Amino acid sequence: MLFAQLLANGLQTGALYALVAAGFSLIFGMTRIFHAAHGATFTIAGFIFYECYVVLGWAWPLAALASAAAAGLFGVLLDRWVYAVIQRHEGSFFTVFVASFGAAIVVQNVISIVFGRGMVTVSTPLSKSLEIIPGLFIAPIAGAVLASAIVSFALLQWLLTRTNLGIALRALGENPALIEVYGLTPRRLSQYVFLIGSVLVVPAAILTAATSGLNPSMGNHVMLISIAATIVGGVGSLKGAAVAGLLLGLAENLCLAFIDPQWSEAVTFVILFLFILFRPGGVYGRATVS
Amino acid sequence: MKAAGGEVVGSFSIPTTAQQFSGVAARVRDTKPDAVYIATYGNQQVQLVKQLRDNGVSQPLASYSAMSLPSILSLPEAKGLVYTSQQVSLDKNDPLTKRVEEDYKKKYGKEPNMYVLNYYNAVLTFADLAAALEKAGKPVTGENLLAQRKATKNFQFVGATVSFAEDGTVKSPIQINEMVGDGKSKVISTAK
Repeated sequence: MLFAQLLANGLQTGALYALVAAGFSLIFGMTRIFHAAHGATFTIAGFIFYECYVVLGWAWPLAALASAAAAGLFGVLLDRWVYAVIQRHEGSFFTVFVASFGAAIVVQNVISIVFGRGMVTVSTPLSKSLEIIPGLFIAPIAGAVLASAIVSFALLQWLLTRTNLGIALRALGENPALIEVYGLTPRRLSQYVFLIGSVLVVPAAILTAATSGLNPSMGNHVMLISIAATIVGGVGSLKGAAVAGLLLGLAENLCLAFIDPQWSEAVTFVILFLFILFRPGGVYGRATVS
Repeated sequence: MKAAGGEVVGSFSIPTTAQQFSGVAARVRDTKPDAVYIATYGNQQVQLVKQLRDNGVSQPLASYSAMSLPSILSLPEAKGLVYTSQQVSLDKNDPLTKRVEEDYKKKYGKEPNMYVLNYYNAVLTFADLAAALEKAGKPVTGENLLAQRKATKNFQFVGATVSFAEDGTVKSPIQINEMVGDGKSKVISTAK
């Protein structure tokens, strides 16, 4: 039953990883910006929800909306006021990365100043596990995690395939120069990408607040998972990032059946290295001609 | 453990940066222990205790003085957790204990916890040793501090009198505490 338990835990963790990884992959795939502050977006979303729901006592839907607004605003403003400025003047990939990394550090420290460096949790009875069958404990929140991941991806799929905005965003990812011929503005579309990619982490941040808790430095782990999942899934593939996120969450938990928990986080990077060595294009990577 | 009549049925190490413990909880449950001892410190203690309880670990939890953080004392899932600490009698009438307790309460509006007392006592030890060296006209160096520590029989800590073993281990009476909820704990046993 240990294996079944770890599988259930892995699905829950994997669903959360899939959400954050898809957000990062969306941004990177469509704008080619290495948004190292994606983990900071996750942290902001979590702490804003905590502040509104726990400290201010708002109803959870309102707190979730505030969280989404904060995350979306952060992503859009970072793109508008930092990345766009750099790209107008110099446009170096490395400069944008360093700026993004710096923004992540600033966010981490601001959150530490405001909320302290300790962990905070959103208490909910949903996180208390029930013994479904002897030896298998599942918390109601696991259902919420899977449901929110499925709904989020369904909405994203609908947006990208059934709306004009979605088609424009996909075109941006394919050929940003060509879309200008059709009267579209890459810069404006980029802001939509950051808005959507940032809001995508909000369900994961809220559910993490209720299961694992929040601390100001949690964005680092989120960032590592996002990068690993994007590479394992195939750069430019949203489906790949989501599948890879799920895979990494499953691997991180299932490995506990065989190895000490001390090494579980390393499994993510072992998988990453194996993919780089044997399938560098990732699960759904596309072959390119240079 | 064996000398005390117990047996370690499983041990797991966790990264200090880990925040997800549902898998660890599954492994702990699988070993079917009578009690779970936690030897960690810092931020992850709150999450570890909460997630162990959330994920079906219902056995008694035990730990050491690092658990006596206000955030854990007030955690509903930590109720019943037993932890050891050095014996501290804040109602000792010596001037040091009275002064520290009164000053801390005046400034922070609450009793000092084990972390506060440990750090205070650590600085106090250094101060006492340095003062003794200065009185003897010796320079305050690491070597001299160590020699002075070895030459000093007892140290007056807040709430207790302690001595040091040859290897530097503090020899102090121990007390066993139990978390009773609402940010409080009670002493359930003492040992010399």
